[in-house]
Amino acid sequence: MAGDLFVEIVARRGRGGRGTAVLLRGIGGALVAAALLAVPAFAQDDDVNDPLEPLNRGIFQVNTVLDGLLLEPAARMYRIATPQFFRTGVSNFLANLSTPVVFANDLLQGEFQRAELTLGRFMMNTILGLGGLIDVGGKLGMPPRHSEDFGQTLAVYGSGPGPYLVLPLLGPSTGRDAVGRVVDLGFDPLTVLGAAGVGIFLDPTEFGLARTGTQALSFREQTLDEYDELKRSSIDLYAAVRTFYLQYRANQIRNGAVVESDDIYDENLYEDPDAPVQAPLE
Amino acid sequence: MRTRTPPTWPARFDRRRLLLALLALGLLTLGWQVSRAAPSVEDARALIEQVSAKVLAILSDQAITDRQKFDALVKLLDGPIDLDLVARLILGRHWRTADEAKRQEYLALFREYALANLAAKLHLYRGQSFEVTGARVVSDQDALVTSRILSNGEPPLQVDWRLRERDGAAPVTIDLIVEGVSLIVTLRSEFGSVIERQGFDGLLVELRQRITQTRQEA
Repeated sequence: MAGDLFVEIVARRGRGGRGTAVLLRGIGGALVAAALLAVPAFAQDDDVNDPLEPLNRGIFQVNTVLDGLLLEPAARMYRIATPQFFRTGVSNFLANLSTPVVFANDLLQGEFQRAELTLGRFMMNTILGLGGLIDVGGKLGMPPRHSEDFGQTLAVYGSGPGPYLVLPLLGPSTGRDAVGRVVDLGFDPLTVLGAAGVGIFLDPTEFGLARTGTQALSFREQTLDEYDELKRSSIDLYAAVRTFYLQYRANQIRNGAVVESDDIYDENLYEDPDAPVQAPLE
Repeated sequence: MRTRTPPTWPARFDRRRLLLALLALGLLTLGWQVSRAAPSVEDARALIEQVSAKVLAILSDQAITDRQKFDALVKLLDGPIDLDLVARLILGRHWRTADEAKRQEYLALFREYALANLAAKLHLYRGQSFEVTGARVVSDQDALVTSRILSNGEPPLQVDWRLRERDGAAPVTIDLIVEGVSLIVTLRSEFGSVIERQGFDGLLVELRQRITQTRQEA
């Protein structure tokens, strides 16, 4: 499912202030420094941190084949068989279900205003929006939904992304984001209910699996055109997806703030044959 | 009647004039540096607003064929986008590993690659609208114009344009950043990966192949 991230682009767009995250950074920095993840950050372009590239490329190939055999055709069927309002409803419902994870991470990052927005939207959409099928908050002029996850929280606490990873079935990730995924499972009421063996209407584990499947389908459908376009135009799809993922995650972590100055825009940097090669960013 | 003695006055006058002249020169230089150091945000914003309005007019014109749309877009975008500079920035440190002939070949191929992609993307336009939301200086040469692309029923897409100021000339667009994903960073990573695996000639081969393939599919 190489489309994992494109999907996120369509589904979640985070923007907002930095809040008290700066304060937490100091505390969290010490916490995370001990972790495996305190690997030096990669430079954005020339020296991508991808020590497992051969393995990653292999898994990427397998994922691409599986996507072409299963997920992509399913997403095309889904697009043909359902009207847009239905698909929007499904996507809203799924986003509403992931509220606990977003809310927990908003709080962990000290983004209390964003936490308030997340909670307020959840209440409105669940109560007035037929259990989350309608994004009432959005219709009432709330800012676009933002995403947070534990990978982003670790980054706010000072962790670098660590090595780039391609996970079987799940697609692009990094050491940090893979750890984040596992921690986020713990914030998810479905996991907790499943572990406790509590079922209300459905078995929570089965419900969780069904949700993951629907998520994959919904995300893949939303990114069909974009991913087709990327596949068509790119001369190295693996490298394109990798940089796409890393840039997109960096943008999410900055909550959409703009990077102003960067060496990549220096047209003289690489002119002089004696000029030093750009050092990797630390 | 007092008369000033000729030897002292002109001498003093000259000194004052010299000082004034130096001061004026200093101010001028400073002024020049200041004007260089602050790219005109207004120019950049106006350029993006004007060009995007024309692009949307071309794209939504029902009366002309795709071929005509393509030709009109190429003509329109030739000035406001500096493709050669974009191509060079994409190459980064690999630029200096190539000799002059290879560089020229790469620049020509990159142009074809960009145009072939433009032609292939025309069908993606589905009545989206566009609004400029802000503009600011981001470095001593560059301005950033922020905008949003709005399409029906979807959250707005954040698109930033980086423009470079050049003395006495209109600003040129050098990068397009969609939701934090930069065109230059993306292509730099991709082209760099090909160069590292297959060398500079490998990049030229891949580009040539991709151009042919894109044209055939169109």
